[in-house]
Amino acid sequence: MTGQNVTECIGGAQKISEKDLSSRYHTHCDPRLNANQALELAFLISDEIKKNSSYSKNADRAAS
Amino acid sequence: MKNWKKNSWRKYPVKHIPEYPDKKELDTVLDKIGTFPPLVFAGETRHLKDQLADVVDGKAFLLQGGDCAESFAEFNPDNIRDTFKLMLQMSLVLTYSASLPVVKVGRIAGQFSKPRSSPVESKDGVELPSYLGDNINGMEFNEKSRIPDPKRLFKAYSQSAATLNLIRAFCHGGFADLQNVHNWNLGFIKNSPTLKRFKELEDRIADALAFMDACGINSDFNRRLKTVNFWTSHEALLLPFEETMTRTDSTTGENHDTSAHFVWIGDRTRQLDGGHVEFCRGIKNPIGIKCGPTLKPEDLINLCNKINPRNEKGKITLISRFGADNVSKHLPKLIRAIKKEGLNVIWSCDPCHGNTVKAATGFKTRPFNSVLKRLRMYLHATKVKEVTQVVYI
Repeated sequence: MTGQNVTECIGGAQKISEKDLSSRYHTHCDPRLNANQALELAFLISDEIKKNSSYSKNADRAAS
Repeated sequence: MKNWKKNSWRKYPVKHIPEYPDKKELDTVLDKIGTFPPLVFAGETRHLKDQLADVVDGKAFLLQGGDCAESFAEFNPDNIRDTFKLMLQMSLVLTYSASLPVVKVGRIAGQFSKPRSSPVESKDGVELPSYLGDNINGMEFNEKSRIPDPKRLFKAYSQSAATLNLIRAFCHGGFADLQNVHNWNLGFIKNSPTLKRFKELEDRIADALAFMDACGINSDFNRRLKTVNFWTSHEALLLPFEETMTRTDSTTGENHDTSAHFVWIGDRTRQLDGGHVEFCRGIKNPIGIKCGPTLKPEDLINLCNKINPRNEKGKITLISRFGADNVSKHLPKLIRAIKKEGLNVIWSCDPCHGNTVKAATGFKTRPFNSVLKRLRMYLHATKVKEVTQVVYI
């Protein structure tokens, strides 16, 4: 993933299409999730964690 | 550590380490870098290991993310800042929902090279050695640029040092203060449903902070609201460089690879009798092991025992990288074997690995939906509870 606004992975809320890839394709290696897609993924994980309450019950307390 | 020296890996077979045509020059460069300051400190890697021990106990969540590979060309402060911001945002989302602290590890400040599937690359009938990463050779498709150049290691060292310096400033200079949560937004994310959700989260956090402030608890009194720990990581692939960055901690006599807090062994270099495993067994850093479909449960057990003979918590993170079709086929077997042996490990998921397709326009891309699908399958295969990390690439 990258914090940059790249267009390397298709899909996500921004609906990046194959046509959009050329606009900001900067990777030196494999295609990376952009900031929006990565944050979307974080929300998905957080939803899954919430569904499994036993995980957070074990928590001491949050600190970040 | 018995029969181990920072150069003992040289007696073992190694894969994916380039042959430098000018070995004398390589040795001169390595000797010089050996006199440079460490990039990270032994006390920091011990601190990270303690935090990872909490992850093993389910008291924290681990988030590892960053570029597939850093490059010299993309080196600029805005890129570092944006990756840092994004990691903070993602951590906040996870902390808020799980009520767990998030251990933040960046693939940054040293993640330059990756093993290649082929040692050569062909274009228009011309065959050249593959591009291996900016710390080894150049991306330009010509013979000269593809020759491994030891002097690139100086540039890699200084870029890593400057990147780390900025990250440390962000962590402790006020940027990461929770009061600044509204400033973490990346300007270009506009009008997306994700941003709307994040804004709602920010507002709830701001309300909670205002309440705590009224009660007399604020960042003036609690350093943890004002600063964060952010750790660096990369693949311990180029062993000559890792060796020269390995230093003995004067207070404990332990050996630490001071090129990063956390290093991992790739799926292509994890041979039990290979140089990479030999090197990693002697350093005190937390170690990641990439687990792909060819890894057998008994090999995984042997690897863990060799690298972590005392079964210390926080020492080993297993990063699974299976294709969507292979997750349910391979992962449960590995999890069962580790459980049966009672080994302390962190299970981590790399949902991005592979999954690439070639778009009609010629670009190598990944469908976001297939990343989500992989993650869902992983969560299902491990029943969520085992998931303690997600790696973004």
